[in-house]
Amino acid sequence: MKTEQIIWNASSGWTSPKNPLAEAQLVLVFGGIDVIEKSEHYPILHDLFPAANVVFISTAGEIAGSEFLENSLVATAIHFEKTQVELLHLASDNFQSDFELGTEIGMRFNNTELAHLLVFAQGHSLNGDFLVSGIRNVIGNDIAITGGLAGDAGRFNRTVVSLNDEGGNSNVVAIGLYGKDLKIGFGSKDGWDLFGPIRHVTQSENNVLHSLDNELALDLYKKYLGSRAQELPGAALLFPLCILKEDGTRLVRTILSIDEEKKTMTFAGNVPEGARVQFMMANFDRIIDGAAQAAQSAKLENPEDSLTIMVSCVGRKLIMQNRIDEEVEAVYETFGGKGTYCGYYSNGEICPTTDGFSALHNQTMTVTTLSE
Amino acid sequence: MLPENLHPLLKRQLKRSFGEDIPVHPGFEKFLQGIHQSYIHYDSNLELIERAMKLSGEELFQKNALLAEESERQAQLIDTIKKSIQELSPNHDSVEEHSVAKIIEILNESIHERKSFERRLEESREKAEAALETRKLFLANISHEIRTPINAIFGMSEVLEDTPLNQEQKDYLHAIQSSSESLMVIVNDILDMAKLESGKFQIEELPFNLKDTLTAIHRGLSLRAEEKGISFQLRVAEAVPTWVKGDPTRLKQIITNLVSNAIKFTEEGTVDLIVDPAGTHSSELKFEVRDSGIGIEEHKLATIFEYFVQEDSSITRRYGGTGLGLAISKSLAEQLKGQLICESQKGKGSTFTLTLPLPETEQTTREKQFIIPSLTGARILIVEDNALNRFLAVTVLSKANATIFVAENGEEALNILRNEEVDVVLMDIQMPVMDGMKATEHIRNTLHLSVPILALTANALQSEREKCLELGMNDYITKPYNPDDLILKIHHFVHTQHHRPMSQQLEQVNLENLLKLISGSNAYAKTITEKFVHQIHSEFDHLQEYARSNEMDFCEHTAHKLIATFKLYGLNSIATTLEAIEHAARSKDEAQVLHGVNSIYHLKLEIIAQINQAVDALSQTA
Repeated sequence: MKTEQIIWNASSGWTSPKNPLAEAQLVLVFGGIDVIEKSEHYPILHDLFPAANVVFISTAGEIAGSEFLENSLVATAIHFEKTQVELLHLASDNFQSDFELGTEIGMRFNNTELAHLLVFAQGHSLNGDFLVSGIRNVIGNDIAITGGLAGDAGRFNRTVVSLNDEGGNSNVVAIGLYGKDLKIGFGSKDGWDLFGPIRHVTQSENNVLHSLDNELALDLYKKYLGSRAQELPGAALLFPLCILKEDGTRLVRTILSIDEEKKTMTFAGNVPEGARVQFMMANFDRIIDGAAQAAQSAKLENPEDSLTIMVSCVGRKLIMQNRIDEEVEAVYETFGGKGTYCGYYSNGEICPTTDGFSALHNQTMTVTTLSE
Repeated sequence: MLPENLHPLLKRQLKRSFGEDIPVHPGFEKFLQGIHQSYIHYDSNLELIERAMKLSGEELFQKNALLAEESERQAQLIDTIKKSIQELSPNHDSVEEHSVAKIIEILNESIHERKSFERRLEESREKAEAALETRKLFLANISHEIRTPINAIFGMSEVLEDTPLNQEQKDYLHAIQSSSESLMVIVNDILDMAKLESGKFQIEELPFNLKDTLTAIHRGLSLRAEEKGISFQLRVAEAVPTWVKGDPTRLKQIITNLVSNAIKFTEEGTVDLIVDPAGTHSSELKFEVRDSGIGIEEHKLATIFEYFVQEDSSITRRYGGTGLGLAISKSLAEQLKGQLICESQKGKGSTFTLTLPLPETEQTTREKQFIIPSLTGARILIVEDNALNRFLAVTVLSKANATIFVAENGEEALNILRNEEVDVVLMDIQMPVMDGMKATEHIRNTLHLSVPILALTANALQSEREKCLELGMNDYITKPYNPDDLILKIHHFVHTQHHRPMSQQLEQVNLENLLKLISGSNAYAKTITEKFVHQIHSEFDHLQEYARSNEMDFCEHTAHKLIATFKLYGLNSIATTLEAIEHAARSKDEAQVLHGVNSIYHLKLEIIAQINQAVDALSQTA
């Protein structure tokens, strides 16, 4: 596997590639929502990597090497020497439900040779939980799905996932990697602290939460946040909800919005009735440590020619602010700086939980490592 | 210089270590900011955690208070249960403090005891019911058995009456006759009761002459009243219709019972039967039986309609009777959708009022003619194992000038039928060696005879009748029978047969009509014949089925369809029979239809064979 990374910013344009990689099959471009749709990008990338499909994913911040960037484009070209690459590009608007969309993707890649599935989806109007369960419904749980939802600088308004010069923003791109020679590592960790009693979800509808232990969830939240409740809804990102599963694994759910009138809270993922949940709060040092742990899980034995894709949550960035590069560094250092690193800050991460079932995460650092 | 906004704890530590002289280093500034931010962050987290602890503590406290309250309630509840248990089973040692397990154990024990008690109760109830059922069944069976000898006594007395007797012998004979009549009433009462109780009672609904029926009742019972020296009058209001629709037998039974009782319990004075419309607008009629007899005490009125209840047990000794009559009458009245009530005053007489729906109807044309025909020349085979019954039948039929053959069982009957041609077979059902059902099967299937078979059944059960007809019998008569009815029935079959021979001889198939119709094409004749043969095959079966299930409309239709076919093949006698069937079916004469169908059904295969043969011959000559 060979990789080549070039970076764009408004002041200096694209960096020049060190080695041409004309045979690259795939270029992943992570870029700021305000700059990614410029029409000049694709022709340049197409010139450099004529054989490749170029996937554009909008972000709330980009990662290149050990650096955190904003309003830039990080393009990583990948030439798989032994692995077969198959790419599926779908418009989510064409499907009745996100589960159906997931099912369609699953059907396309339902092949015994499939080794890994990378999925990038728009992150403004799509239920990532249903998308992932739709895919798993067809391909089962043996093949890991990693990737994430696109970001838009924390605005939760309009994100972009597009292929080559096809445009559009409500898209999903799934990349199937086939063959025995591909080595895959992945890990996902949040690093948030739990507080307050464990409660049951007594009323909810998909990702809209009504009540916990028969009390209005929003009132409970405000009670426990005390004076910090005044910072809502802006501060909602700082206080996610943790779903504690029976087997000890946990899923973090970020608050996207609150409805003062209906006393409901909308999350960036489903909060099923009957689930056990607990409030969470940020802890800087543990968040950084969490990133390192995710990297540790994803670490391959011989990572010299590897590509590491980091998908971290926009919520982490909003909390850590100017210390956010510390978590990127933590991942970079865990791998000893070898190989190529790319990534972005997303509206949702996709990765298997520790029980092996791929799922949508919030507030995590998710690391996928590929090598041949 | 120290930055102004540093966290106080960090500031203090810095002062302790460095005093006011903070090392000037670009990395050190960043280092301080990192630690400062962590301090601030931990403070903020600590505040949240402390708040969460406080709130959780409060929540816990409230939940504990709720639990304590709930637990107190539970304890009270358990106390109440304990008290109830001690009341329920005082012999239990006092239940341990709050021991729910013990309470459950005791409750389970009680439930178990109670269930086993209920089971025993249920078992005894079942046993008692079974015993009662057995007794009733026994009673019914015995009564049934008694009917046969009574029937013989009746018959024989009638025969005896026709012989020269002196006055003394005549008196004895009348005594025998009246005793056996009483016996028959009792036996019939018991059988009626059994039928009513088991719900097997069948109610008829047919047009009958009400006034004739009432007159007959009056005539029948006047003699008894006269003998006692009381007047018995029948008064029928003008508004009462002559022809009504209902069950004449049951009406007669109820009124006869009421009038007989009235006569029985009246020593002097009058008994009146008064018939009026029950209301101006309804089709109900009111039958009042008034007497000036002993009357009934008021407190006994409520029970007189119960089985085995007479007003006083002394009455049974004095007046006799089974105590079933009124109960049966009331039950019958209710089955007929009417009612029977009684008003009475002790010593002043009683009035029984029967109200029944008897809608007026048109006079039926099928009024019975009571001219007993002669059976002169008719050859009748009597198959009956019981010597008395056999003798009775022989006597009755000999008097009608019939020629009699006698068999004691089915096998003997078959032997006779192999050698003799008879017009009607009277077939008992229950017989040793070979019963009537089996014999009928042989007659139809082995001997291929279509001779009319008349079943003599003791059980007037619908199911048995149906079975008889299914096996190919033509009709049935229930024992004990009225000799006139028997003669009428036999006459009907003999009469029919004389006009239309029962065992039809199949005439020669004639293809002339067919060939004319299809302009002489032999090949086509063959094709069309295949179709007809198929039609005959299935339609004959249908016809028989419809005839047996009394579906007259279908019979009419099917018979009609077949007529043309048989005329086409020159089988005119079959066509004539089918015409008769069609006609009988149109006038809903079910017995006649079945009879007609039975007379040709067994010819089916022969007909088909003949037609095929004729058509085959045709193609060979061509």
